[in-house]
Amino acid sequence: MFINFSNTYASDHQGSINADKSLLISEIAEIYQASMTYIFKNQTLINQKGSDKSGLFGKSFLLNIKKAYRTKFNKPFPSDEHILVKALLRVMIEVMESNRTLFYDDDIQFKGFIPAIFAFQLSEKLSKKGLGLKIKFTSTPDMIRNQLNHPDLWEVETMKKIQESALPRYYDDKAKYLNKTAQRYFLPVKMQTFCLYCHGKPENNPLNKNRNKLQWTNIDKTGFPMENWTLKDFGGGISIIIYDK
Amino acid sequence: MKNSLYLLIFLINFISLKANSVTLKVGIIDYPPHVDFKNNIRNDKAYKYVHAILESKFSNVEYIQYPSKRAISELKKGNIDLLYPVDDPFNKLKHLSKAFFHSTPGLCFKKKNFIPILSATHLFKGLAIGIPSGTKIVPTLKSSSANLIDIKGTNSLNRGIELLKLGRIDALFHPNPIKLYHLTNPLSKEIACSYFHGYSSGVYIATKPGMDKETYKKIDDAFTLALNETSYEFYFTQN
Repeated sequence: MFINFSNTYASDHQGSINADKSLLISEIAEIYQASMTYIFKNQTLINQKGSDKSGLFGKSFLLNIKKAYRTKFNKPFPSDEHILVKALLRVMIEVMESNRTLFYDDDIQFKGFIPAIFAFQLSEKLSKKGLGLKIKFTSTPDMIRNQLNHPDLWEVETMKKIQESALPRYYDDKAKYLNKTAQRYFLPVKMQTFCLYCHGKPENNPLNKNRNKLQWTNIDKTGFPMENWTLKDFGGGISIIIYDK
Repeated sequence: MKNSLYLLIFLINFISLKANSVTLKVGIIDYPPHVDFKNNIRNDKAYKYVHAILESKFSNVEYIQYPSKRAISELKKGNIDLLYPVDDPFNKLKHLSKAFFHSTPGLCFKKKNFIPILSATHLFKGLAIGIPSGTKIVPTLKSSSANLIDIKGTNSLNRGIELLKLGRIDALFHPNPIKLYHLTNPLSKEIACSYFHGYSSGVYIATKPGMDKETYKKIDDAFTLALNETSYEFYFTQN
């Protein structure tokens, strides 16, 4: 059963269960997105020498993510009592901790800990927990840099529907994953100015700031050639799968 | 952290059978920063986590520190019951069902040559990357345009580190770079490592061959319960 969220309503018991399930999966996507936003907004802190970086770790980090969520979505942070939300928050702490040495390495000017990298590490760690939860930040096959983020068939078809009908999100509670019953959800991410720092045109590249145009590079800070995307392009999205273990 | 540990112990004790009087022998391998032989291993979080679980099941638990190869030999002979942390893919040791934690392979560089994002494999073009003998490299590195140099010898990892420090290679492939690149290792002042995320694998608690089914189940159930409640990886992040 495919549900465009704008049409979701709960008029009976089954509808109510579906609404609960779809609420959970959408909250997970939003928490994930808020955490990526927080990582972007703290690039200066992450790359800075000798700063107090305690806000990037442990409980302080979670408080910052919750604040970022409230600011971004203008609503309270969801309950973290649900096992999957709890696991996601714990894994965020694990990811940040596993990068502690890098964050405090003052000899490395650019740590490479950009939102997409954070998201990928988060996804990988979550996939090892055996919780039946998979999260991926992906895009259309022609827009993917890391082939390990390549979309599967469901994601390709969903992104096509989202682009064609300008859907705000997409929920499918009758999907399959690894031959198991699954709920799948896709939250498109709007292309933002900061995405263009790496994926845009050379004039968007912060490395070219204060440089003569003849000296501009089309290689971004992470070492990849820039794609010349604009704010009108599709920005990919967050794909969530909750499946039977 | 203390609260998590107390909860863990309570849960294990709650479902536990009465601890028996058998002495369980546990081998430990150096695996910084989780197990660091330079310090008292009883202060390591890995020890505290494992011990909290085992002491609820066995009245006597003896820990013995070993070099890696000797440890595997002792385990295979049945002289020790358990061994941790084990990520040896070649000996195909029997282990508990859930991974204790996970390790991710990576590349180590002199800091001035650091490449932070290893999915940017086009940056490997022309780089001399040392591959210690016996290590299994990730597919993206194998298919890259890097010049892969086989580092032979019984201590090829250490030799690789020396070659890197001397500038004879541009990077060194390491199956577990966290062993080198962590805050308490002085080597981290010279080198930095980044990871092939997406290629992590389990690091386990291995069991001796022929361990009786009842004992295996008792230990495995206790660890599964504990890991599900508070994973070691999360416990490790707590102060």
